[in-house]
Amino acid sequence: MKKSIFHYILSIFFIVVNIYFLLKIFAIRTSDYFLSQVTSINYYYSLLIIGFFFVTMGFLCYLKKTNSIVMRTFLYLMYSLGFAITLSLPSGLEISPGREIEMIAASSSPYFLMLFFEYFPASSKPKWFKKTRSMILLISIAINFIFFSSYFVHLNHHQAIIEIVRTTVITNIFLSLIACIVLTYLHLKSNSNKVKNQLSVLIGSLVLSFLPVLFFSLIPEIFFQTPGIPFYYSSISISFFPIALAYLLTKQEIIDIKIRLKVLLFEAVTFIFTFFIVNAIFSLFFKLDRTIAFQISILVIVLLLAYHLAQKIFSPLMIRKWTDKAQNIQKEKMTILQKMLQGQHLNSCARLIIRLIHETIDINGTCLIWRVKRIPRMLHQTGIFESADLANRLIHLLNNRKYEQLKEEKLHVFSLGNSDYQRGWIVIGQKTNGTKLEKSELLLLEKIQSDALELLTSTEALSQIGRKLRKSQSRFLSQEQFNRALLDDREEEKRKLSIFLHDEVLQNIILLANKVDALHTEKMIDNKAYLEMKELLMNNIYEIREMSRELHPFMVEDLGLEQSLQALKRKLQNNYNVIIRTTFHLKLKMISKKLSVQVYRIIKELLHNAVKHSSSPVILLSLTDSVHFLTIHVEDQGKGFELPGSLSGMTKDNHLGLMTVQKRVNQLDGVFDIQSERGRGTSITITLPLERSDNHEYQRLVSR
Amino acid sequence: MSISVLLVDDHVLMLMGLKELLEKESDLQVEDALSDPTALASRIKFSHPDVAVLDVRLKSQNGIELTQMLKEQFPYLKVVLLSGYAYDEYIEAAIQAGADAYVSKEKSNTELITTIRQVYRGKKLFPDVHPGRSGEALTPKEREILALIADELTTAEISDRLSISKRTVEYHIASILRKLDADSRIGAVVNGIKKGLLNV
Repeated sequence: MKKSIFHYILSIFFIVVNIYFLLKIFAIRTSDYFLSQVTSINYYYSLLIIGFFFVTMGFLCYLKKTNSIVMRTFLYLMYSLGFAITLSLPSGLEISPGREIEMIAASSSPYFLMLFFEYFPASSKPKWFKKTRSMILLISIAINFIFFSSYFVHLNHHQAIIEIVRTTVITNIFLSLIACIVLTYLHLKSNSNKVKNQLSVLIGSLVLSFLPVLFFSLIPEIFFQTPGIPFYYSSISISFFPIALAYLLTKQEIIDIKIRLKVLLFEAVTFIFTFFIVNAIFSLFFKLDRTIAFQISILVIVLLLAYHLAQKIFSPLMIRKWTDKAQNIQKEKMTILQKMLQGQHLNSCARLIIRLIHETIDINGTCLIWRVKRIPRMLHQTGIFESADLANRLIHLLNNRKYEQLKEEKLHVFSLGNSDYQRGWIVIGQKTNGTKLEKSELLLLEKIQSDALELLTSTEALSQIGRKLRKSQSRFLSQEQFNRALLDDREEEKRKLSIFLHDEVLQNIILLANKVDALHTEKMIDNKAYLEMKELLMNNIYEIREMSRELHPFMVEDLGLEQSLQALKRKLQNNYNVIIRTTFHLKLKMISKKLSVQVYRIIKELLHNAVKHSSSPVILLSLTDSVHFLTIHVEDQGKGFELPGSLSGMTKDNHLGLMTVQKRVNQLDGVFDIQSERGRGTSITITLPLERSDNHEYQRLVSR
Repeated sequence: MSISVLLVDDHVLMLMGLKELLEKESDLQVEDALSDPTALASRIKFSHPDVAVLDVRLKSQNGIELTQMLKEQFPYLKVVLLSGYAYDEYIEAAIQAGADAYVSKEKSNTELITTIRQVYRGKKLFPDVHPGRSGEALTPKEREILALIADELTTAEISDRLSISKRTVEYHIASILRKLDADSRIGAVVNGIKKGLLNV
């Protein structure tokens, strides 16, 4: 609340100050003193308009997003610039306090510019930028200090001080501009397309706004001493700058400028081209006065523009109606599809059959009754059967097989199904002209009867199959989930057991061994018994440690994957006649502990498999990580084997180890690829995704 | 002047045993015995021990990471890592973390005591896990095992054949590999043939 009040006060202050100066200047607009400074009061008006435009743009943007810091800095920038612009003339005319306010506004604007650029475009800024910003702030404070302190010593009209202040303000502005240009350049060089787009809009608006002023007013005046186009015409172009900025800021997401510009450019070129052609052809036939031709052209252009605009406004309205209808149709379709999926094919089938009957003969009504779970149900009805009374009576009669009574009511019954079991009935009313059914018509109806039976039974079967499929699918999914949970649980159990072995059993035995040592040094037990006991204890320690390691590879958690694999390699090379060649290409990628343990287990299984079954003297192991994947490759030149056709084949051929690896890889959403041939060795490549959500990272779970 | 020692081990029995053991020595004084390392840093700041004895595997923390942290915070504190694992990889990691010594738990207690004393004097002590030295002659037992290796017997099979424990076989093989400058059994056999230790 407080902030917004502050901003309203700012705006009121701006308006009051400017009205004050406007009145002052308006009073002296015809004096010689005034005219010696500027050619006419129009100059001041143009300044006022530009300044007001800047400030209103700032406020509009700010009001659109009050909480955005970018908007706030934008407002400050626009406010200070607006003040500096509107007050340039009053300060030149020495109307107080014009100079003082202009001084504050002009000296603070470079700081606000830097501040704005710090938040826009949204990207990280280099350190030097912040440093330059604070330096600029310091300079502007210093200038203000010098300027205002000169009042106390009555030097405020001293030419030297005014010169110094003016040059420092201008250098400060230049400094900040250079910093912003460098920053923009850096951003353009390396940044996302979004930032680049924002910057190109910014640069484009800058060029559009200030180049005309530079070329038409400033350069002719300064360098050639000739009066250029009066300054107030440039106000139109200058207003481009805040408009473009405001657009950028409020839209946030902007379209790809290059693509849009290409289209526009193409349109403009074709338009100009056709325009000239048309004009040229026109001039061949009609000898028109040049001014009239010009006026006609302008009229045509305005007409086209107006048409284009109007079309843009009205076309969305037209399109909306159409899309509404299309959406309705889509909705209807979806509901039908949903009904179909819920097994309601029967009703639509019945509707089709009854429509067919109506198209064949002209009758006053018909209905189709079908047993759903043995209970007769009206699937669809038309004409006389739509009354609930008749329909209920009909079902009752059919259930009790009282066909004669139906005949009395002049209804025709066509039963569906064989004589033992009636699956349903088609009941037909009287013909609309009151006559009896002809033979040919009866034949046709009988044909429909048999077709309907076939259609309805197959539909029912189909929906039953669909239901069963869905059921078994869901059962399969839950089974899969259960399997996963089981695997996880097994892992956890192993881990607990491993911890128990290592931290409880093993420690106690080590303690025991140490006690035995102590007893021996105190000569409480004799040498032979000591050595025997010691040997037994050491063997036990070894066995338990091996088992604990087998159950859970703690080394992976403590020392990491690569070290643990080196240890595994050494152990295998010590215990089997094999050489394992390892290549690791693991960059700085962090592999989570859980994944590391899994990868270690997979590799251990594969290596043991290769050692036991391939009898290859050399096994190659490589581990490579890329941005998103970890690739394990194990290869041997040993016996190899014929790959079974399916997963179940693997269990038959005693490849349980490989199968568990495959399961584990599946569980980790990875890809398992195996190539093997008898006598040609085996090559296994496993690719695992690295960025899996690892929300249940192993916690040390120790139960004591 | 006695050496003040701080013990950290989450196995309470082990901790008490160690404390009792070290307190028997006249020149050692156990300043603190912690079963939980969470308050470790503040306790060190309070009691200024000379040597800290840590278990490599603690429930809540990794002893190697803890060593690294302690060495950064208290560069003058000597750290002795006590471990049930005498694997090369752990010892290497301990050296890299800046530990002063690494003692295997099943080694005799006197070794721990002498290690503490030597570490206090500024020595660094790490076990040489590899038995044997390169170029040293093989013992008769080792030659026998080398012959079995050349016959492509696995460690388990050798252990059965010679009626000795798997642990002993592994120990002998490690020694053979060291003595023959090999890092695999195949390399050991090749070098053994070169040196005439095996009949082809």
